[in-house]
Amino acid sequence: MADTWRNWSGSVAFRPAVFAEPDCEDALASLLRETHRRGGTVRCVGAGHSASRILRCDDTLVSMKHLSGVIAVDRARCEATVRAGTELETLGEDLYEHDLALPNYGDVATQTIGGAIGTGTHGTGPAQQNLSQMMVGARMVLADGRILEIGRDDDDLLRAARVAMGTLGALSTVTLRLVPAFDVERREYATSTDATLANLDALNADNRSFDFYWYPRRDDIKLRLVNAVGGGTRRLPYARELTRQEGYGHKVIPTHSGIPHRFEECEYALPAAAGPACFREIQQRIIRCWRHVVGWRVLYRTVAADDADLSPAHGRETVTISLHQNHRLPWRAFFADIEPVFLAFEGRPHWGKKHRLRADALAPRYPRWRQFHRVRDRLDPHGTFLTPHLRRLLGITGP
Amino acid sequence: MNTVGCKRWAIAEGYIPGQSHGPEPELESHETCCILNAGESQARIAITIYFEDREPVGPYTATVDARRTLHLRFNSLTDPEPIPRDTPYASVIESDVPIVVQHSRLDSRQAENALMTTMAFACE
Amino acid sequence: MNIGRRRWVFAAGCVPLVSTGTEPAFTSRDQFSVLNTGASVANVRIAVLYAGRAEVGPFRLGVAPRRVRQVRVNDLIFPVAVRLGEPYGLIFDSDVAVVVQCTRQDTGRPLGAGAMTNAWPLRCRA
Repeated sequence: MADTWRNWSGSVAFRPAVFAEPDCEDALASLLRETHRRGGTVRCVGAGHSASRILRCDDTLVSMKHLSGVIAVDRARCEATVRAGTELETLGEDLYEHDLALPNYGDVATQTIGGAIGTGTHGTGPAQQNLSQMMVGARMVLADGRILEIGRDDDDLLRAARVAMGTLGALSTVTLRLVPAFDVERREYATSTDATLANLDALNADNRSFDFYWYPRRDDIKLRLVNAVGGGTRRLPYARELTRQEGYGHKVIPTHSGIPHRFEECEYALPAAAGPACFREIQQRIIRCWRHVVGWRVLYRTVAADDADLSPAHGRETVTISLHQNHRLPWRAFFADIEPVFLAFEGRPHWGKKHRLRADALAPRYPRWRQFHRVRDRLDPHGTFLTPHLRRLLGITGP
Repeated sequence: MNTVGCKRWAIAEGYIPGQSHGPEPELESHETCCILNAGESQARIAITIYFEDREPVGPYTATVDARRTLHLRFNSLTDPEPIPRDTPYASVIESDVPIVVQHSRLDSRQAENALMTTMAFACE
Repeated sequence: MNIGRRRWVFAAGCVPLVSTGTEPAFTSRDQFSVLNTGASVANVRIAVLYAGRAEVGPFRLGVAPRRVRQVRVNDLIFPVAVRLGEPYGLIFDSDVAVVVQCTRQDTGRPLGAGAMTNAWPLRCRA
């Protein structure tokens, strides 16, 4: 038995029978082949940031940490092929050396690119799709050890593979559609909840990447605006400016002054038009019922629509709302109490964060649910990448 | 000889709201340091005001006659400069003879405003 | 001149849960002011003690020389949020002498009134 494996926040902990750290694609393929042959189960882990149980596995847990690094760069096309275990922070720095950048980042940059793609990681901005949409090609190791090359014209495969939680195969390398390295300015402001909601449309429309933190204990807000240097950010007469920071995207967009303590997170993606009303209801519910143990911020972001089968932003312009709670304070009851509000506004849970939905509730929220399953059935017919939890999550009863 | 008190006092919590709701001067939002001179000679008082984000200001001077009290409203201090409203501040009160100082505050900004304050307990 | 003590205790903590009026100005809260009249930074550590659960902290606070710093107990959320609506106490430990005062603003209902003060201690050598 391997040691207990814990995710970043500590709330996902288990002991796999085998913990492997293959140092190259061949080693990964041979490990999968061997596990498949004996009818075992495999899960691949990147940085372990996910707090849902998609990683939990009693049999073989495979770390992708050695499958890291940039393989090829096409500056003219603004594309790069990178190993899936590369952490976003390192990737940003390496790509910068080639004058390229990821178009956006999530709130942190600790994830691997494979993990970020697999769970639908996103940043904010009405014109910014999630990070999975960067993937225009991939090399995937299938359950039986064969290599599958996904090309830019393999539409159905790409739509399934963007946000697949490692259930189709293990991503070995990904080809990413990037942008030229860009510098941005971040400005942060303090203001009231009412002023924010009154100006929300303008804040989203006038900024490349706008999001806000709402603070339960003070009922006030930190506005976070990211724009191109030298021409973006408008003055906000209703808010007090707190900080300004300039630099290249990979330095400025991910928050390095994040919550400096382990936390649990619950996030739902909503149709953009429902964002403000859903937020208001959550704000009022937290003030009425949860302030006694909830002090950490609620994060409100926007994501552009995409067409990936299981993307929470599938088919609609999206607002995401994230709850945070210290891992040593009651979080289960808090998230469970707010979840019905998200669901009432047609929310879809973030695959990598805490939620209580299973296939019966998830399937109706994803128009291309069946299409995803067709691809998955074909690529992993024996369910080598499926754990009991994933079977319940995806509604897979067969082998 | 009946000296009571000390020559130096500190009130760490100060805040004069900018608004009031009620007839002045009784229900004007205010903050007061209440000084008692139980001794036989006049007390000469010097007050220094401290802030969160600037150097201290003072001295503001006052006198309290022997065997008298003075309820000094921080609102009415003007020399060297008025204390800014809606701004956290602290005060140190010094006297040439022993006095006793207590702190009181009225916040009449809205009907639903009950305020209580106390010194934390000072250990050795 | 360094007025105060290096250790302070506030025993009567209990942050009211209900607020009336525009926040954050009228948020019901406990808050404390730490006055540093000295010439060097005061590094203050605060422990939060509860009635029926393990204490939390330390919450770290620095106060610059010749400054006062006012902090809401409600806003003590790192490493972990202090619980509201529950009795608690605070122990302040500073590396230099400071003065600490604690205040409660309760905007929960109209025409409330309250009082809070130290009980009178019999001095004894610890």
